[in-house]
Amino acid sequence: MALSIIIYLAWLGITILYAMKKPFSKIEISAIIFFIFIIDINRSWITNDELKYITYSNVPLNFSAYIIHRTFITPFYIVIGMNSIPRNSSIVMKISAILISSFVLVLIKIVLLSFDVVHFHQWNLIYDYLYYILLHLLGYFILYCYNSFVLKGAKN
Amino acid sequence: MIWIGNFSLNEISLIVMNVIGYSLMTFLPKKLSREVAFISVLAGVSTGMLFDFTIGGGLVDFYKQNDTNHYELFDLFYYSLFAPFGYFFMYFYHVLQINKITFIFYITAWSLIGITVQWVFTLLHILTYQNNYHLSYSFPIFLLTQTLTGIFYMFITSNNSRKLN
Repeated sequence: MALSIIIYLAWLGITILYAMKKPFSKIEISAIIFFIFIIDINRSWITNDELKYITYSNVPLNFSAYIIHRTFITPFYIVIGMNSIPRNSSIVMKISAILISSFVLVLIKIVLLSFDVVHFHQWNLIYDYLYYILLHLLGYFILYCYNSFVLKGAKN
Repeated sequence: MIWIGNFSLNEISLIVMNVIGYSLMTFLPKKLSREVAFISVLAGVSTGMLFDFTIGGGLVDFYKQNDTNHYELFDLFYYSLFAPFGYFFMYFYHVLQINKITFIFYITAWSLIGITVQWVFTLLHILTYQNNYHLSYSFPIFLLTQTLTGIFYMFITSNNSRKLN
């Protein structure tokens, strides 16, 4: 059951990103997805496999759901959150979008918890919420780096 | 988590390979636009990490990087090697002007390069297979990742529009 729901949510994320009106270029969107993925996969390895703050299910189908969540859902939903508002939105709009998008990701994490895909030990949903907010900010950071160093360097 | 483990052949090899890889990236003539070069590096690291964290760890844990199955400082040196590979994949894709026909040869060649480099990594004890994993199993993974990277390159360079839609 968990695998079906997670596959659907991953598919939903990919198709929404494809269909939605996007203020960012395809290279910017790709950069955000790759960067968030790199950060998230390392964070999950450190907190889950090394520190054991979170453990994942040893049932193969549930483990597959965990992998799909880590690989697709986190980066795609964050990039959808960032693309859901115009590029030159006010800071209040941006903060609101980040808070709502992070809340959606926490709801998805609740699905993982309720189906025993992951178990929290020294971790809780507040940490997850703060972590997802941080991931959004890192998404804006890589965007800033791209526009400041890569694009401006290309124009010079 | 450990810092270095036993500083030996694998750590020295990783330092040397990183120096060679990043030197080539720096000193070869710049053929890619800065945007594509930037994304090639991120794509290379992401693809490498995706497979290493998925089949090189977790439930399946088919191979060990460096001295232990835990995160080490030199694992980061290993992952940083994926950046030059990502860069050179797109670099030569552009330089050799790969089309639909030559795509087949290009992907096959890169998959063979990938499997050769992985074999060298096993000789240098950077990678140690476990749980009945064999080198040949990596070939379809390389074939898939290089094909997707080739399609991704075509996607990002397909038109001058900056928007996806």
